[in-house]
Amino acid sequence: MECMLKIEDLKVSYGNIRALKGISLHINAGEVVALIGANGAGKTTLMRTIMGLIKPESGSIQFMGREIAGTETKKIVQSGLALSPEGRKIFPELSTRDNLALGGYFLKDSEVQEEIEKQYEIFPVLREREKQMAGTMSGGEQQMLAVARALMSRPKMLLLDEPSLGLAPLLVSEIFSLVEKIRAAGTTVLLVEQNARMALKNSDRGYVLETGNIALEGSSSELLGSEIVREAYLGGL
Amino acid sequence: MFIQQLINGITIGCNYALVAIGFTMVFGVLRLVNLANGSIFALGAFFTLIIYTAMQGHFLLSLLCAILATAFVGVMVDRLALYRLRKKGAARVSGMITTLAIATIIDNAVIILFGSQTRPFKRPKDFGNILIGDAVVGKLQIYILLSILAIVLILSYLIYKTKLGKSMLATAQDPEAAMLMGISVNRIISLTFAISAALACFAGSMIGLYYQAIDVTLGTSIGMKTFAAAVLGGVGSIPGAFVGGIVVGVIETFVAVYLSSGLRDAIAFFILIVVLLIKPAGIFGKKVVEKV
Repeated sequence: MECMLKIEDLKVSYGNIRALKGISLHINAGEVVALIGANGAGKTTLMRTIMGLIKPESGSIQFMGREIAGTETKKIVQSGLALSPEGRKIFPELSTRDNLALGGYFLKDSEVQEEIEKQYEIFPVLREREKQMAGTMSGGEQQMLAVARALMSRPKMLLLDEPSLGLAPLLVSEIFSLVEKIRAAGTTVLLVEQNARMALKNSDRGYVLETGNIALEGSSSELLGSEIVREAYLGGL
Repeated sequence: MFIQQLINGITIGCNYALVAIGFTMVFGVLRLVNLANGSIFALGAFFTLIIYTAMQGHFLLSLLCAILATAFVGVMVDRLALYRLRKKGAARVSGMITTLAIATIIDNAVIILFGSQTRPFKRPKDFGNILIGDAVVGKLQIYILLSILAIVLILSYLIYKTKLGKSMLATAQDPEAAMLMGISVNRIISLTFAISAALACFAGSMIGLYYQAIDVTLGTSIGMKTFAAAVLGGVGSIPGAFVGGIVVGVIETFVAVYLSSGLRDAIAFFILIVVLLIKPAGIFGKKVVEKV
Protein backbone atom coordinates (compact mmCIF):
# COMPACT_ATOMS: atom_id res chain seq x y z
CA MET A 1 0.00 0.00 0.00
CA GLU A 2 1.12 3.51 -0.82
CA CYS A 3 2.13 5.58 2.19
CA MET A 4 0.37 8.94 2.23
CA LEU A 5 1.44 10.59 5.47
CA LYS A 6 4.62 9.60 7.23
CA ILE A 7 5.68 11.23 10.50
CA GLU A 8 9.07 10.45 12.01
CA ASP A 9 10.39 11.36 15.44
CA LEU A 10 8.31 14.55 15.63
CA LYS A 11 9.02 16.78 18.60
CA VAL A 12 7.01 19.86 19.49
CA SER A 13 7.39 22.18 22.49
CA TYR A 14 5.46 25.07 23.97
CA GLY A 15 8.22 27.02 25.66
CA ASN A 16 9.78 24.57 28.11
CA ILE A 17 6.98 22.06 27.96
CA ARG A 18 7.42 19.32 25.42
CA ALA A 19 4.00 18.37 24.07
CA LEU A 20 5.13 15.77 21.52
CA LYS A 21 8.15 13.74 22.53
CA GLY A 22 9.11 12.02 19.30
CA ILE A 23 6.06 10.73 17.48
CA SER A 24 6.30 8.34 14.53
CA LEU A 25 3.31 7.14 12.58
CA HIS A 26 2.20 6.47 9.03
CA ILE A 27 -1.09 6.46 7.18
CA ASN A 28 -1.59 4.64 3.90
CA ALA A 29 -3.72 5.86 1.03
CA GLY A 30 -7.34 4.82 1.43
CA GLU A 31 -7.09 4.02 5.15
CA VAL A 32 -9.12 5.34 8.04
CA VAL A 33 -6.76 5.63 10.99
CA ALA A 34 -7.86 6.50 14.51
CA LEU A 35 -5.69 8.46 16.91
CA ILE A 36 -7.01 8.08 20.42
CA GLY A 37 -5.83 9.38 23.74
CA ALA A 38 -6.90 11.26 26.84
CA ASN A 39 -7.27 14.98 27.15
CA GLY A 40 -3.84 16.64 26.96
CA ALA A 41 -2.13 13.68 25.32
CA GLY A 42 -1.10 15.91 22.39
CA LYS A 43 -3.66 14.92 19.75
CA THR A 44 -4.65 18.45 18.79
CA THR A 45 -1.02 19.60 18.94
CA LEU A 46 -0.18 16.90 16.42
CA MET A 47 -3.00 18.04 14.10
CA ARG A 48 -1.94 21.67 14.35
CA THR A 49 1.67 20.75 13.64
CA ILE A 50 0.73 18.70 10.57
CA MET A 51 -1.21 21.71 9.25
CA GLY A 52 1.70 24.09 9.82
CA LEU A 53 -0.01 26.11 12.56
CA ILE A 54 2.78 25.14 14.96
CA LYS A 55 6.41 24.77 13.93
CA PRO A 56 7.96 21.53 15.14
CA GLU A 57 11.22 21.49 17.05
CA SER A 58 12.55 18.55 15.07
CA GLY A 59 11.43 15.52 13.12
CA SER A 60 9.86 15.05 9.75
CA ILE A 61 6.36 15.10 8.30
CA GLN A 62 6.14 13.73 4.77
CA PHE A 63 2.92 14.07 2.83
CA MET A 64 2.85 12.12 -0.43
CA GLY A 65 6.61 11.95 -0.45
CA ARG A 66 7.20 15.67 0.19
CA GLU A 67 8.53 17.16 3.39
CA ILE A 68 5.94 19.58 4.82
CA ALA A 69 7.19 20.09 8.40
CA GLY A 70 7.37 23.82 9.13
CA THR A 71 5.85 24.79 5.77
CA GLU A 72 3.27 27.57 5.43
CA THR A 73 -0.30 26.36 6.11
CA LYS A 74 -1.47 27.66 2.76
CA LYS A 75 0.97 25.40 0.90
CA ILE A 76 -0.01 22.40 3.01
CA VAL A 77 -3.68 22.98 2.18
CA GLN A 78 -2.82 23.28 -1.50
CA SER A 79 -0.89 20.02 -1.40
CA GLY A 80 -4.09 18.17 -0.45
CA LEU A 81 -4.45 18.11 3.34
CA ALA A 82 -7.44 19.55 5.17
CA LEU A 83 -8.30 19.79 8.86
CA SER A 84 -11.72 19.94 10.43
CA PRO A 85 -10.46 21.50 13.67
CA GLU A 86 -11.36 20.79 17.25
CA GLY A 87 -14.13 23.10 18.36
CA ARG A 88 -15.32 23.36 14.72
CA LYS A 89 -14.03 26.90 14.23
CA ILE A 90 -16.62 27.76 11.61
CA PHE A 91 -16.97 31.45 10.69
CA PRO A 92 -19.94 32.37 12.89
CA GLU A 93 -20.98 35.54 11.10
CA LEU A 94 -20.83 34.18 7.59
CA SER A 95 -23.57 32.12 5.96
CA THR A 96 -23.27 28.38 5.54
CA ARG A 97 -22.69 28.89 1.85
CA ASP A 98 -19.94 31.48 2.41
CA ASN A 99 -18.26 29.16 4.91
CA LEU A 100 -18.24 26.41 2.32
CA ALA A 101 -17.03 28.73 -0.44
CA LEU A 102 -14.04 29.72 1.73
CA GLY A 103 -13.28 26.04 2.17
CA GLY A 104 -12.78 25.92 -1.58
CA TYR A 105 -10.46 28.93 -1.50
CA PHE A 106 -8.16 27.54 -4.19
CA LEU A 107 -10.87 26.26 -6.53
CA LYS A 108 -12.21 28.09 -9.55
CA ASP A 109 -15.63 29.72 -9.11
CA SER A 110 -17.38 27.07 -11.19
CA GLU A 111 -15.66 24.30 -9.22
CA VAL A 112 -16.76 25.93 -5.97
CA GLN A 113 -20.42 25.78 -7.05
CA GLU A 114 -19.99 22.17 -8.10
CA GLU A 115 -18.31 21.21 -4.86
CA ILE A 116 -20.92 23.01 -2.72
CA GLU A 117 -23.63 20.97 -4.49
CA LYS A 118 -21.68 17.82 -3.69
CA GLN A 119 -21.47 18.72 -0.01
CA TYR A 120 -25.21 19.48 0.06
CA GLU A 121 -25.83 15.96 -1.19
CA ILE A 122 -23.71 14.46 1.58
CA PHE A 123 -25.05 16.88 4.23
CA PRO A 124 -28.64 17.72 3.20
CA VAL A 125 -29.20 19.76 6.38
CA LEU A 126 -26.64 22.29 5.14
CA ARG A 127 -28.72 23.04 2.06
CA GLU A 128 -31.63 23.93 4.33
CA ARG A 129 -29.35 26.23 6.29
CA GLU A 130 -27.67 27.69 3.21
CA LYS A 131 -28.32 31.36 4.00
CA GLN A 132 -28.27 31.09 7.78
CA MET A 133 -25.41 32.59 9.77
CA ALA A 134 -23.27 29.64 10.76
CA GLY A 135 -23.00 30.82 14.37
CA THR A 136 -26.75 30.47 14.86
CA MET A 137 -26.87 26.79 13.90
CA SER A 138 -26.99 23.90 16.36
CA GLY A 139 -23.79 22.18 17.46
CA GLY A 140 -24.45 19.18 15.23
CA GLU A 141 -25.09 21.33 12.20
CA GLN A 142 -21.94 23.33 12.91
CA GLN A 143 -19.96 20.10 13.06
CA MET A 144 -21.39 18.98 9.71
CA LEU A 145 -20.43 22.37 8.30
CA ALA A 146 -16.89 22.10 9.65
CA VAL A 147 -16.43 18.70 8.01
CA ALA A 148 -18.06 19.81 4.74
CA ARG A 149 -15.91 22.96 4.69
CA ALA A 150 -12.75 20.88 5.08
CA LEU A 151 -13.89 18.61 2.24
CA MET A 152 -14.46 21.62 -0.02
CA SER A 153 -10.76 21.84 -0.89
CA ARG A 154 -10.99 18.31 -2.40
CA PRO A 155 -8.35 17.00 0.00
CA LYS A 156 -6.52 13.74 -0.56
CA MET A 157 -6.44 13.34 3.17
CA LEU A 158 -8.81 14.68 5.81
CA LEU A 159 -7.84 15.24 9.43
CA LEU A 160 -10.89 15.11 11.71
CA ASP A 161 -10.19 16.51 15.17
CA GLU A 162 -12.77 15.48 17.78
CA PRO A 163 -15.81 15.48 15.47
CA SER A 164 -18.04 13.94 18.14
CA LEU A 165 -17.18 16.35 20.97
CA GLY A 166 -20.29 17.73 22.64
CA LEU A 167 -22.77 16.05 20.33
CA ALA A 168 -25.84 14.00 21.26
CA PRO A 169 -25.33 10.21 20.90
CA LEU A 170 -27.54 9.98 17.82
CA LEU A 171 -25.50 12.67 16.08
CA VAL A 172 -22.28 10.98 17.12
CA SER A 173 -23.17 7.83 15.21
CA GLU A 174 -24.29 9.96 12.27
CA ILE A 175 -20.91 11.72 12.20
CA PHE A 176 -19.05 8.42 12.36
CA SER A 177 -21.10 6.91 9.54
CA LEU A 178 -19.96 9.87 7.45
CA VAL A 179 -16.35 8.79 7.88
CA GLU A 180 -17.04 5.67 5.84
CA LYS A 181 -18.75 7.77 3.15
CA ILE A 182 -15.75 10.08 2.97
CA ARG A 183 -13.38 7.14 2.57
CA ALA A 184 -15.62 5.64 -0.11
CA ALA A 185 -15.36 8.92 -2.01
CA GLY A 186 -11.58 8.42 -2.11
CA THR A 187 -10.32 10.49 0.80
CA THR A 188 -7.94 9.07 3.38
CA VAL A 189 -8.98 9.93 6.95
CA LEU A 190 -7.10 10.50 10.18
CA LEU A 191 -9.67 10.47 12.94
CA VAL A 192 -8.73 12.01 16.27
CA GLU A 193 -11.03 11.13 19.13
CA GLN A 194 -11.52 10.90 22.85
CA ASN A 195 -14.44 8.61 22.11
CA ALA A 196 -12.13 5.64 21.68
CA ARG A 197 -14.76 2.95 21.19
CA MET A 198 -16.54 4.73 18.33
CA ALA A 199 -13.26 5.73 16.73
CA LEU A 200 -11.85 2.22 16.79
CA LYS A 201 -15.11 0.69 15.56
CA ASN A 202 -15.00 2.99 12.55
CA SER A 203 -11.36 2.69 11.53
CA ASP A 204 -8.84 0.21 10.11
CA ARG A 205 -5.90 0.93 12.37
CA GLY A 206 -5.28 2.95 15.45
CA TYR A 207 -2.62 4.71 17.48
CA VAL A 208 -2.85 5.42 21.19
CA LEU A 209 -1.23 8.69 22.21
CA GLU A 210 -0.18 9.10 25.83
CA THR A 211 1.46 12.31 27.14
CA GLY A 212 3.29 13.03 23.91
CA ASN A 213 4.29 9.46 23.01
CA ILE A 214 2.72 6.74 20.91
CA ALA A 215 1.97 4.14 23.58
CA LEU A 216 0.33 1.51 21.38
CA GLU A 217 -0.48 0.85 17.78
CA GLY A 218 -2.23 -1.86 15.84
CA SER A 219 -5.29 -2.79 13.88
CA SER A 220 -8.44 -1.27 15.35
CA SER A 221 -9.93 -4.65 16.20
CA GLU A 222 -6.72 -5.62 18.03
CA LEU A 223 -6.79 -2.39 19.99
CA LEU A 224 -10.48 -2.82 20.84
CA GLY A 225 -9.58 -6.23 22.26
CA SER A 226 -6.43 -5.10 24.05
CA GLU A 227 -6.48 -5.22 27.84
CA ILE A 228 -4.64 -1.89 28.21
CA VAL A 229 -6.92 0.00 25.86
CA ARG A 230 -10.03 -1.50 27.43
CA GLU A 231 -8.98 -0.44 30.88
CA ALA A 232 -7.60 3.00 30.09
CA TYR A 233 -9.91 4.21 27.34
CA LEU A 234 -13.03 2.10 27.09
CA GLY A 235 -13.98 2.29 30.74
CA GLY A 236 -13.12 -1.24 31.84
CA LEU A 237 -15.22 -4.36 31.20
CA MET B 1 -30.00 77.30 11.15
CA PHE B 2 -30.81 73.80 12.36
CA ILE B 3 -30.65 72.27 8.86
CA GLN B 4 -27.49 74.21 8.18
CA GLN B 5 -25.77 72.89 11.29
CA LEU B 6 -27.07 69.41 10.64
CA ILE B 7 -25.44 69.40 7.20
CA ASN B 8 -22.22 70.81 8.66
CA GLY B 9 -22.27 68.10 11.31
CA ILE B 10 -22.84 65.36 8.77
CA THR B 11 -19.99 66.68 6.63
CA ILE B 12 -17.56 66.47 9.53
CA GLY B 13 -19.14 63.24 10.73
CA CYS B 14 -18.65 61.52 7.38
CA ASN B 15 -14.94 62.12 7.68
CA TYR B 16 -14.91 60.75 11.22
CA ALA B 17 -16.84 57.80 9.85
CA LEU B 18 -14.16 56.99 7.28
CA VAL B 19 -11.39 57.12 9.87
CA ALA B 20 -13.49 55.10 12.32
CA ILE B 21 -14.17 52.45 9.66
CA GLY B 22 -10.42 52.04 9.13
CA PHE B 23 -9.86 51.83 12.87
CA THR B 24 -12.61 49.27 13.33
CA MET B 25 -11.36 47.15 10.41
CA VAL B 26 -7.90 46.88 11.96
CA PHE B 27 -9.50 46.06 15.29
CA GLY B 28 -11.67 43.43 13.62
CA VAL B 29 -8.77 41.62 12.03
CA LEU B 30 -6.17 41.96 14.82
CA ARG B 31 -8.17 42.82 17.97
CA LEU B 32 -5.74 45.71 18.07
CA VAL B 33 -6.55 49.24 19.23
CA ASN B 34 -4.55 51.23 16.70
CA LEU B 35 -3.70 54.47 18.50
CA ALA B 36 -1.60 55.59 15.52
CA ASN B 37 -4.68 55.92 13.32
CA GLY B 38 -5.14 59.63 14.07
CA SER B 39 -1.48 60.37 13.37
CA ILE B 40 -1.78 58.62 10.02
CA PHE B 41 -4.78 60.83 9.35
CA ALA B 42 -2.67 63.96 9.90
CA LEU B 43 0.24 62.51 7.95
CA GLY B 44 -2.07 61.78 5.01
CA ALA B 45 -3.41 65.33 5.06
CA PHE B 46 0.15 66.70 5.04
CA PHE B 47 1.11 64.38 2.18
CA THR B 48 -1.77 65.72 0.10
CA LEU B 49 -0.90 69.32 0.93
CA ILE B 50 2.81 68.90 0.16
CA ILE B 51 2.28 67.01 -3.09
CA TYR B 52 -0.42 69.45 -4.15
CA THR B 53 1.84 72.42 -3.46
CA ALA B 54 4.75 70.78 -5.28
CA MET B 55 2.65 69.84 -8.29
CA GLN B 56 1.03 73.28 -8.64
CA GLY B 57 -2.51 72.16 -9.19
CA HIS B 58 -4.03 68.78 -10.05
CA PHE B 59 -5.66 68.29 -6.69
CA LEU B 60 -7.16 64.88 -7.46
CA LEU B 61 -3.86 63.52 -8.73
CA SER B 62 -2.09 64.82 -5.61
CA LEU B 63 -4.75 63.24 -3.46
CA LEU B 64 -4.30 59.91 -5.22
CA CYS B 65 -0.51 60.00 -4.75
CA ALA B 66 -0.93 60.92 -1.09
CA ILE B 67 -3.40 58.07 -0.56
CA LEU B 68 -0.93 55.59 -2.04
CA ALA B 69 1.92 56.99 0.06
CA THR B 70 -0.16 56.86 3.25
CA ALA B 71 -1.34 53.34 2.50
CA PHE B 72 2.31 52.36 2.14
CA VAL B 73 3.08 53.89 5.54
CA GLY B 74 0.15 51.96 7.00
CA VAL B 75 1.50 48.68 5.66
CA MET B 76 4.98 49.52 6.97
CA VAL B 77 3.62 50.23 10.45
CA ASP B 78 2.44 46.64 10.48
CA ARG B 79 5.41 45.02 8.81
CA LEU B 80 8.11 46.84 10.77
CA ALA B 81 6.53 46.70 14.20
CA LEU B 82 3.29 44.85 14.76
CA TYR B 83 4.05 41.84 12.56
CA ARG B 84 7.19 41.17 14.56
CA LEU B 85 5.24 41.29 17.79
CA ARG B 86 2.66 38.84 16.45
CA LYS B 87 5.38 36.50 15.30
CA LYS B 88 6.81 36.44 18.80
CA GLY B 89 3.36 35.85 20.24
CA ALA B 90 3.52 39.07 22.26
CA ALA B 91 0.60 40.06 24.48
CA ARG B 92 -2.08 42.12 22.81
CA VAL B 93 -1.43 45.11 25.03
CA SER B 94 2.16 45.28 23.68
CA GLY B 95 0.64 45.87 20.26
CA MET B 96 -1.45 48.75 21.56
CA ILE B 97 1.49 50.34 23.37
CA THR B 98 3.52 49.97 20.19
CA THR B 99 0.91 51.89 18.21
CA LEU B 100 1.19 54.66 20.80
CA ALA B 101 4.94 54.78 20.12
CA ILE B 102 4.28 54.80 16.38
CA ALA B 103 1.86 57.70 16.85
CA THR B 104 4.60 59.64 18.65
CA ILE B 105 7.11 58.84 15.91
CA ILE B 106 4.74 59.89 13.11
CA ASP B 107 3.64 63.08 14.92
CA ASN B 108 7.22 64.15 15.48
CA ALA B 109 8.26 63.20 11.97
CA VAL B 110 5.46 65.46 10.72
CA ILE B 111 6.72 68.28 12.95
CA ILE B 112 10.31 67.82 11.73
CA LEU B 113 9.34 67.59 8.07
CA PHE B 114 6.45 70.03 7.84
CA GLY B 115 6.73 72.16 10.98
CA SER B 116 4.45 72.44 13.99
CA GLN B 117 2.62 75.58 12.93
CA THR B 118 -0.82 75.55 11.36
CA ARG B 119 -0.52 75.33 7.60
CA PRO B 120 -3.00 76.92 5.22
CA PHE B 121 -4.64 74.32 3.00
CA LYS B 122 -5.45 76.07 -0.24
CA ARG B 123 -8.56 74.94 -2.08
CA PRO B 124 -8.03 74.20 -5.79
CA LYS B 125 -10.83 76.63 -6.57
CA ASP B 126 -13.69 78.49 -4.95
CA PHE B 127 -16.44 75.92 -4.96
CA GLY B 128 -19.29 78.33 -4.27
CA ASN B 129 -22.49 77.72 -2.32
CA ILE B 130 -25.99 76.56 -2.97
CA LEU B 131 -29.14 77.23 -1.00
CA ILE B 132 -31.14 74.34 0.40
CA GLY B 133 -34.24 75.97 1.86
CA ASP B 134 -32.68 78.81 3.81
CA ALA B 135 -29.50 76.87 4.57
CA VAL B 136 -26.32 77.88 2.80
CA VAL B 137 -24.45 74.76 1.84
CA GLY B 138 -20.99 74.81 0.30
CA LYS B 139 -20.70 72.81 -2.89
CA LEU B 140 -17.50 71.43 -1.41
CA GLN B 141 -19.58 69.94 1.39
CA ILE B 142 -21.78 68.22 -1.19
CA TYR B 143 -18.72 66.88 -2.99
CA ILE B 144 -17.23 65.59 0.27
CA LEU B 145 -20.49 63.92 1.25
CA LEU B 146 -20.98 62.28 -2.12
CA SER B 147 -17.41 61.06 -2.45
CA ILE B 148 -17.42 59.58 1.05
CA LEU B 149 -20.76 57.93 0.41
CA ALA B 150 -19.35 56.44 -2.80
CA ILE B 151 -16.24 55.20 -0.95
CA VAL B 152 -18.32 53.58 1.77
CA LEU B 153 -20.57 51.89 -0.79
CA ILE B 154 -17.63 50.54 -2.80
CA LEU B 155 -15.88 49.40 0.36
CA SER B 156 -19.03 47.65 1.61
CA TYR B 157 -19.38 45.90 -1.72
CA LEU B 158 -15.74 44.79 -1.57
CA ILE B 159 -16.03 43.51 1.97
CA TYR B 160 -19.44 41.86 1.92
CA LYS B 161 -19.72 40.65 -1.67
CA THR B 162 -16.31 39.66 -3.00
CA LYS B 163 -14.12 36.68 -2.22
CA LEU B 164 -11.35 38.97 -0.98
CA GLY B 165 -13.77 40.71 1.39
CA LYS B 166 -15.11 37.44 2.69
CA SER B 167 -11.61 36.26 3.41
CA MET B 168 -11.12 39.48 5.40
CA LEU B 169 -14.29 38.79 7.37
CA ALA B 170 -13.19 35.20 7.90
CA THR B 171 -9.80 36.39 9.17
CA ALA B 172 -11.55 38.76 11.57
CA GLN B 173 -13.86 36.05 12.88
CA ASP B 174 -11.26 33.30 13.30
CA PRO B 175 -7.72 33.90 12.02
CA GLU B 176 -6.60 30.33 12.59
CA ALA B 177 -9.56 28.84 10.73
CA ALA B 178 -8.87 31.34 7.94
CA MET B 179 -5.32 29.99 7.70
CA LEU B 180 -6.72 26.47 7.47
CA MET B 181 -8.72 27.56 4.42
CA GLY B 182 -5.41 28.56 2.82
CA ILE B 183 -5.92 32.31 3.28
CA SER B 184 -2.65 34.25 3.67
CA VAL B 185 -3.62 35.97 6.87
CA ASN B 186 -0.58 38.26 6.90
CA ARG B 187 -1.47 39.52 3.44
CA ILE B 188 -5.02 40.23 4.59
CA ILE B 189 -3.63 42.14 7.58
CA SER B 190 -1.37 44.24 5.33
CA LEU B 191 -4.30 44.99 3.06
CA THR B 192 -6.41 46.02 6.05
CA PHE B 193 -3.71 48.44 7.23
CA ALA B 194 -3.42 49.83 3.69
CA ILE B 195 -7.18 50.43 3.45
CA SER B 196 -7.33 51.92 6.93
CA ALA B 197 -4.48 54.36 6.17
CA ALA B 198 -5.94 55.24 2.76
CA LEU B 199 -9.30 56.09 4.36
CA ALA B 200 -7.56 58.22 6.99
CA CYS B 201 -5.61 60.06 4.28
CA PHE B 202 -8.76 60.77 2.29
CA ALA B 203 -10.61 62.05 5.35
CA GLY B 204 -7.58 64.10 6.44
CA SER B 205 -7.35 65.75 3.05
CA MET B 206 -11.08 66.50 3.02
CA ILE B 207 -10.92 68.02 6.51
CA GLY B 208 -7.95 70.09 5.33
CA LEU B 209 -9.91 71.33 2.33
CA TYR B 210 -12.97 72.01 4.43
CA TYR B 211 -11.23 73.98 7.19
CA GLN B 212 -8.58 75.32 4.78
CA ALA B 213 -5.92 74.59 7.39
CA ILE B 214 -4.17 71.66 8.99
CA ASP B 215 -1.80 71.17 11.86
CA VAL B 216 -0.23 68.21 13.52
CA THR B 217 -2.44 68.24 16.63
CA LEU B 218 -5.42 67.46 14.42
CA GLY B 219 -4.24 63.86 14.41
CA THR B 220 -4.56 63.34 18.15
CA SER B 221 -7.97 64.93 18.40
CA ILE B 222 -9.33 63.01 15.38
CA GLY B 223 -7.80 59.83 16.73
CA MET B 224 -9.73 60.14 19.98
CA LYS B 225 -12.96 61.23 18.33
CA THR B 226 -12.94 58.36 15.87
CA PHE B 227 -12.13 55.98 18.71
CA ALA B 228 -15.26 57.25 20.45
CA ALA B 229 -17.19 56.88 17.18
CA ALA B 230 -16.07 53.28 16.75
CA VAL B 231 -16.95 52.41 20.35
CA LEU B 232 -20.34 54.09 19.95
CA GLY B 233 -21.09 52.01 16.88
CA GLY B 234 -19.70 48.81 18.35
CA VAL B 235 -16.00 48.13 17.82
CA GLY B 236 -15.42 45.78 14.91
CA SER B 237 -18.69 46.70 13.17
CA ILE B 238 -18.26 48.62 9.91
CA PRO B 239 -21.85 49.93 9.71
CA GLY B 240 -21.45 50.81 13.40
CA ALA B 241 -18.33 52.87 12.74
CA PHE B 242 -20.10 54.69 9.92
CA VAL B 243 -23.13 55.60 12.03
CA GLY B 244 -20.93 56.33 15.06
CA GLY B 245 -18.78 58.74 13.06
CA ILE B 246 -21.75 60.69 11.78
CA VAL B 247 -23.39 60.83 15.20
CA VAL B 248 -20.20 62.18 16.82
CA GLY B 249 -19.84 64.76 14.03
CA VAL B 250 -23.43 65.96 14.33
CA ILE B 251 -23.45 66.05 18.13
CA GLU B 252 -20.20 67.99 18.39
CA THR B 253 -21.42 70.50 15.81
CA PHE B 254 -24.66 71.07 17.71
CA VAL B 255 -22.83 71.31 21.01
CA ALA B 256 -20.44 73.88 19.55
CA VAL B 257 -23.32 75.96 18.18
CA TYR B 258 -25.93 75.68 20.90
CA LEU B 259 -23.84 75.18 24.05
CA SER B 260 -20.27 76.31 23.75
CA SER B 261 -17.64 75.92 21.08
CA GLY B 262 -15.16 75.17 23.86
CA LEU B 263 -16.94 71.86 24.46
CA ARG B 264 -16.50 70.77 20.85
CA ASP B 265 -13.53 68.51 21.47
CA ALA B 266 -14.71 67.31 24.88
CA ILE B 267 -18.07 65.98 23.77
CA ALA B 268 -16.57 62.90 22.09
CA PHE B 269 -15.23 61.77 25.46
CA PHE B 270 -18.58 62.41 27.06
CA ILE B 271 -20.18 60.17 24.41
CA LEU B 272 -17.49 57.56 25.02
CA ILE B 273 -18.14 57.48 28.76
CA VAL B 274 -21.91 57.34 28.32
CA VAL B 275 -21.67 54.46 25.82
CA LEU B 276 -19.30 52.51 28.05
CA LEU B 277 -21.64 52.99 31.00
CA ILE B 278 -24.94 52.24 29.26
CA LYS B 279 -24.20 49.93 26.34
CA PRO B 280 -20.54 48.90 26.27
CA ALA B 281 -21.06 46.75 23.16
CA GLY B 282 -22.13 49.85 21.19
CA ILE B 283 -25.12 50.31 18.88
CA PHE B 284 -24.27 47.52 16.45
CA GLY B 285 -22.11 45.42 18.72
CA LYS B 286 -23.39 42.10 19.91
CA LYS B 287 -22.62 39.86 22.78
CA VAL B 288 -20.87 36.74 21.63
CA VAL B 289 -22.62 33.56 22.64
CA GLU B 290 -20.38 30.55 22.67
CA LYS B 291 -21.98 27.33 21.63
CA VAL B 292 -20.81 23.99 22.93
